[in-house]
Amino acid sequence: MRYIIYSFLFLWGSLLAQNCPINLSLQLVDPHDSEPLEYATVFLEESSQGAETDSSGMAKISNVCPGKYHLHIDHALCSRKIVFITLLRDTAIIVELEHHEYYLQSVTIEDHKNLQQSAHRNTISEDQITKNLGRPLSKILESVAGVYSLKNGSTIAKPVIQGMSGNRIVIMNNGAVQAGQQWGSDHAPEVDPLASDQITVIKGVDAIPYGGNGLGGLVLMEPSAIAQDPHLHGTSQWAYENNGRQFSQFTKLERANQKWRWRTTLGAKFGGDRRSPDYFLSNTGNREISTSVYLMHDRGVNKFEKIYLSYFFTELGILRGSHIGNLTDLQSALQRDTPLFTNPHFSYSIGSPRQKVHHWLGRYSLQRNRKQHLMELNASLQVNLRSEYDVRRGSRSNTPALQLLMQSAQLEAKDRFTFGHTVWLVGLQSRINYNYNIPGTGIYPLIPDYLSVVPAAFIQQKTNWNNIQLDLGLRYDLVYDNVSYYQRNNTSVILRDQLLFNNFSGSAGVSTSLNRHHEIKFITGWTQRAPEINELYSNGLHQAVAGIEEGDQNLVPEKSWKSSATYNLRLSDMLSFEVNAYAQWIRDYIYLQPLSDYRLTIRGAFPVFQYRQTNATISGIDVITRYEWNHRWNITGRYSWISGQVISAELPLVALPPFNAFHSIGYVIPLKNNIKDIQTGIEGLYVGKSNVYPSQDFLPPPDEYFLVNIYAGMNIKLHQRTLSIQLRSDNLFNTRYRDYLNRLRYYSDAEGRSFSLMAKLPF
Amino acid sequence: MKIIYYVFVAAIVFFMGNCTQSENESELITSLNYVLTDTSGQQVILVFKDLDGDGGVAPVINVSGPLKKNMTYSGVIELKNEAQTPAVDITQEIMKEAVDHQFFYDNTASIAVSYKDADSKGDPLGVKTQLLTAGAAQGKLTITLRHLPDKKAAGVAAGDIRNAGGESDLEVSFNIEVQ
Repeated sequence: MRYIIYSFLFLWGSLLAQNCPINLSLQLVDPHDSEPLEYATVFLEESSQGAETDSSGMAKISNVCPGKYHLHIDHALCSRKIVFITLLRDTAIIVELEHHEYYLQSVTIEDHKNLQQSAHRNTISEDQITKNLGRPLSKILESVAGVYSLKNGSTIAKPVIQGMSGNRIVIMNNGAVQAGQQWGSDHAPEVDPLASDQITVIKGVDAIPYGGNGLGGLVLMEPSAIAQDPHLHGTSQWAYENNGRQFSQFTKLERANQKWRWRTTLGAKFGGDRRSPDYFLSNTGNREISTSVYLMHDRGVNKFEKIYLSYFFTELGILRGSHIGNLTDLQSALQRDTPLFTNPHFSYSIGSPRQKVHHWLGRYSLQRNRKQHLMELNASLQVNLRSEYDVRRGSRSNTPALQLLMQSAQLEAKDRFTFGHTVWLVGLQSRINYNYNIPGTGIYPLIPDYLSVVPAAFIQQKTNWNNIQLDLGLRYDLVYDNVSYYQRNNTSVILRDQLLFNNFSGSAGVSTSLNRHHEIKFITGWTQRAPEINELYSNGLHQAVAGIEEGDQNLVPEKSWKSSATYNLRLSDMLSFEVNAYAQWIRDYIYLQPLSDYRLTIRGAFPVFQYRQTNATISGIDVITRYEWNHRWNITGRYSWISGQVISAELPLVALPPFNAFHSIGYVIPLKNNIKDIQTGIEGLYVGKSNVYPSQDFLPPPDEYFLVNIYAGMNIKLHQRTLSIQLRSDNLFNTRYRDYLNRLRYYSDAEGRSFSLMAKLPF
Repeated sequence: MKIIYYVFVAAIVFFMGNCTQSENESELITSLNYVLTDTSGQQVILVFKDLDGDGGVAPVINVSGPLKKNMTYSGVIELKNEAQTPAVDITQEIMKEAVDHQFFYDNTASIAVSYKDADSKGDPLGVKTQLLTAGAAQGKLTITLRHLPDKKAAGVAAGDIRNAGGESDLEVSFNIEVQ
């Protein structure tokens, strides 16, 4: 205390003219290899003073008044860190910026330095996520080259990663494999993207430590660490979009003490009918509520607990004119300019057909650090209740036509340890899913009741020699299914089957940095995927496509061999360029084959689709490039090209995204008053025409299209807070178009022009 | 640790509690009878029966005999769900929601079909019909039941399906002969 007073007096004497004499110097390091982190911004919230770290990780802020401050540290590769400090005199601090965040994220052994650059995994930051308030997860993922959306209107969208979607994609929701009805092309993942602070897309075979059937890729959604800050902090965010007149809201609150840290989120959406350039898309409204509680408990130096609880509810209307009775109706719907049942007025109401989904998730995680070992134990429970309502006779429209209850329990133990130059990660996992058709729908269920038990084990290692990094991984999944289903010819008989599959996966990767600017990575892997229950046992009318879908109980696992090569160029922070080329060969690829004859029923004729297997290849190239000059102008380009073939038939694979190219030009208008930099930009999206033959579908693929979007965003200083405002217009020229991977293309044009306004206030 | 184990065991026990139950397809239509009675009381019956619904055994389609030329028939349609016992009379259900339904009788055998009933708004329903045959002909008679049609659209009240819209709850074709 005396020392402080002396030094204070000294300072007072020497800098009498100045009330704010403190120099804060700071060094930013990575705690694991103590390497300095450059290009990070440090910023004192209360005084708005800031600096950037240099190549030695140092930053200095001068002329700071004594007081209590929140120090913000932002680094491109890490989530924002906020440190609460009290400054009384010149201070030098070393901050360890945990971008690996062992304790905070799930345990992995990924190369953190290249987390963002690597084409195999692309991370979407919190800033990008929050800019997309009001949009579905899949839309946010589209910012990654090679990711497209499979849609059913604009509110129902699911990701397609390098041509793979549905069952072949795993979504990890805060450490748990998302359990739901992922098989349906009109079943979007039941998760609020804003509840995560970081979303990572892993393409292809690099997904050994994660459960599920990730033949095509993985979406990792993770919350960030809760800052060790005794004050209540949070963010409140609001958005309005004029097309659909959708209001969205998201609020986040967090606080910490020595032992406990908590965060809670609350999100809501309320939207009505969207509009295509010429007419309303009647019954395309949506509702959504999501809430979560995240608790982190510090149990001493080597023990850490996390509890995550979340609830998600959504109600989604499906375009009324897309509900059809039979083939005759479909054919007449295809010929209409305006879909049937198009209402001339806007409406918020949601009628049938519609979906309602509740999703509960509870997860407990324990991490322990012991010598070279970092161990993690995770347990989670999920309940997913999906109800789908059709237009039905009598008063049955309020009785779900399909009501599925999925319960899932997952247990996982992982250990990460270092052995010489090698880091090892080993784990045991087990997943139990129980799917149950709630009786009373009055319709035979499309998919049966089943219990699925999947124990699994994996081992992964990463070795570093000089500039070369070698990755190896092995995984084994035992899939046991116990299914009870209706006999096809006599639906009063319920049969029971037990199935067993062995899935082996392995991957090997080599990466090397030629120097600071160039990096090359090659990865190859073998993956097996057991057929899903819907592929084996589907039986009945899938109203959404007016088709009868039939599973095949003799399907065998899909076997895929995928190789990909990535070249990454980074010239300072101004220019980055990355190209990722991949080729995948799939044996026994499962797909829906339309049969040549129609099935006659009392409701008319229906096309029949059967699950079949064939050998197929998929290959493609994703390119992403960004050039920035003088901190004012920047250009981004993103290109994705994919091609797939059924080997035996020499036919193109259906449902692959067409070639697409995205460009954006951004310009920052510098301002010196309360309004900080205005960011403006224009975006152009070109989507080509799919090369599938007209005979492979009800309709030939839609034409190519080009959409233009513009945006402007600014940060306004209000007292001690920064209010961010963003204005955007999507499809500025109200272009009429239909997208190949939007199922509603059979019936209607896609959404027309839309303006949106978003405000965000962190506190 | 122990807690996790117990939660896991409890979860498994919870899962096992459910068991597949049989579903009653109350909305299903399995059988259609279209009874045509001529002025002398003689009947021709058109039957479509598919007791196991979509898939399974192929439906039975039967026409009891030819129609007479230049004859007036009164037609009555009857829909049933015979997959349930006792059989459910679907015609009653449709008549209750007459405003939301309309039958259409398209044919290529030069038979003039007119409606002999109406819903509460005075628009045709088509459970009761009158048929006037012309000369000898062979062709198809397609019976369609539309749910939520636009009964005010051009020609719909006269039985023209083209502008009716709505969705088909039933669509059945019979080969008929007029002698």
